[in-house]
Amino acid sequence: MNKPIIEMRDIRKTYETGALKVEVLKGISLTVENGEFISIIGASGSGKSTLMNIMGCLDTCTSGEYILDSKDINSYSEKELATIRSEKIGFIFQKFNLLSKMSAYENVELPLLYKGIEKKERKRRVLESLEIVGLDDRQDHRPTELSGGQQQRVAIARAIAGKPPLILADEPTGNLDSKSTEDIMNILLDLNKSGTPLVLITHDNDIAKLASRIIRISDGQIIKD
Amino acid sequence: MNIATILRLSLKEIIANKLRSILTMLGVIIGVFSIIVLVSIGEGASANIKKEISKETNLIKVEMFPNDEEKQMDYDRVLGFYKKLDIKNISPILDQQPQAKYKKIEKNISLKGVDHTYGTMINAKLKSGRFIAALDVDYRKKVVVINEKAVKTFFKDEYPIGKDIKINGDDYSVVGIIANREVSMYERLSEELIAPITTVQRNFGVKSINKVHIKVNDKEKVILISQKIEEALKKFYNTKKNKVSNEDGVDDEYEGYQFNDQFYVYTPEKEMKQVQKMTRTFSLMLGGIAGISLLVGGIGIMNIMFVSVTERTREIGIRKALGAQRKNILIQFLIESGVVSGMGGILGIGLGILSNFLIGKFSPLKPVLNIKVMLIAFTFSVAVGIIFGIYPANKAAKLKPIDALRYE
Repeated sequence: MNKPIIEMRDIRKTYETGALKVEVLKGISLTVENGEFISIIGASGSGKSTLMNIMGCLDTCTSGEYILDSKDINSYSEKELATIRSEKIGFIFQKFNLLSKMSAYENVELPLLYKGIEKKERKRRVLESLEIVGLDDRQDHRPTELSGGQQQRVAIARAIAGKPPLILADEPTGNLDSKSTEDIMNILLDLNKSGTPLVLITHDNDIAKLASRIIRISDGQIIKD
Repeated sequence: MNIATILRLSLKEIIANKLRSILTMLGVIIGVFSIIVLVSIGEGASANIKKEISKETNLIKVEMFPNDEEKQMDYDRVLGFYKKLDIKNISPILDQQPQAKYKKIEKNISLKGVDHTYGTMINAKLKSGRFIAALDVDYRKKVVVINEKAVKTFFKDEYPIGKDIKINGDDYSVVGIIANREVSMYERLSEELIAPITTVQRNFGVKSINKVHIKVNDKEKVILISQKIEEALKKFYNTKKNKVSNEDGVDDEYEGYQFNDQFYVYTPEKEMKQVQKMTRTFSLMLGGIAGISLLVGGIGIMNIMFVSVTERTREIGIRKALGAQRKNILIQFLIESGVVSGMGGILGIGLGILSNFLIGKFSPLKPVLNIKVMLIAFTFSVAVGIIFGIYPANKAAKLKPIDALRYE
């Protein structure tokens, strides 16, 4: 009964710069079951970020089939993709990507505003998400007033506030020290335990090992699953 | 995404970049400021003139400048001319623009030679002393009534009554002071000196009268009587029929001044129409100036919005990754440029109000500010911001999320 959250078949991505054609993804097929925690590991330039961008509907593939939460999104327009990003996906970035002029509260609230959730419910969810990451006492702080680890926790709160069926994390601990890394990974593991499927991209073997499934990518292809 | 939140965020953005925001607003500030001040001055002036004209709703003014010496009218001929028309209550005037001198102060002034009827004719407000009397006229007395402006110019702190002021070589004794009045919309408030008409005639060696004021007791008859005078003057000067007829064959003279070689007949109605026409022209001109400066302001805003879009490419990428639709980004940037220009508008209005106050206090002008102009100026400035914001905002909205996120 539990349908897979991600089904990818023979995904290819080619970048064209002038006469030069570079195939970054050379036919990736991948299924992520609901509730699964997988990590995608690979060296830089292996194509793992491109794969994540396609998974996150930030980019489209050149060819192949991508079904996200039972929706075939290959044919989707830009507007529909924006809706998918809003409804289905929570992003966590390596560089946190918080808006520096907004407080932690406002940053977490932002995706909910785009989703059109009404005010009372918004407030409830923002506070709940901040509590999950343990920052409910920092809601009025600006990103610059927070440590790296705290910023990433705000970003996680932002990713989960909309209760998306999928969370994508692109090197979430890449800019953090070992203590913060441990905190962040614990939060992510807890999230996964409560049922949210998690796709984590990393080049760090130790981090990758925390996942129930490790996919190794090299030169645009899956070499180990 | 609700509007209040976007407004709050754009205000934050504006405050965070104070200097840049103010420089961006400068064009709009100057545009709106100049509209407010110029329109207020114009309105003030025309309100003043209208007030003056409406005081004289039953006054007809005739000016004569005959080409032919034969046709010049002296005092008695004028009286006779109007008596024949059965028009009473007339006041002949001889206008001169000589220099007047008191002690070391010399200045060009407006001298009116009048008879004893003139004071009531123009409803002159006597501040002190007396007006020109019939005896003054009969005996060609060298007396003069001056307005407050002339008091200020010539006498400063001295008490003028009883002092002698020199006009065209003769000494005139000041007997009265009247309040200033707007003479007409083309004349600035000037030093006005009023003397017996006979004295002026002799002093300047001029017999002919160049102005006549006629008071009509029944306001309804002003037009009728002015037509009667015009007809009679045409006949007198033997001018050809010079009428402009519209399609209905109706005389079109009263649309404005009927230009005629040798005379004008002014009625309050005509003057009012003329003032309105001038005010309209003036407003149109101001609209043009304001339009240009707002246009320049708009270009400034567009320029800065482009910079802002580029600077915030990454922010746009983040917003898009979080689910923002194109329209969310578009509206955000449109509101930002609208807020920038709207704030410029408010600042411009504020500056305008302030300088209106200062102008009213420290100059003879009395600016009148109406709310309508403020609202129009404000709406216009916001509209300029939004219109010039469309292009940059659209550029922002069209950014691809992946490209925007990668932007450093």
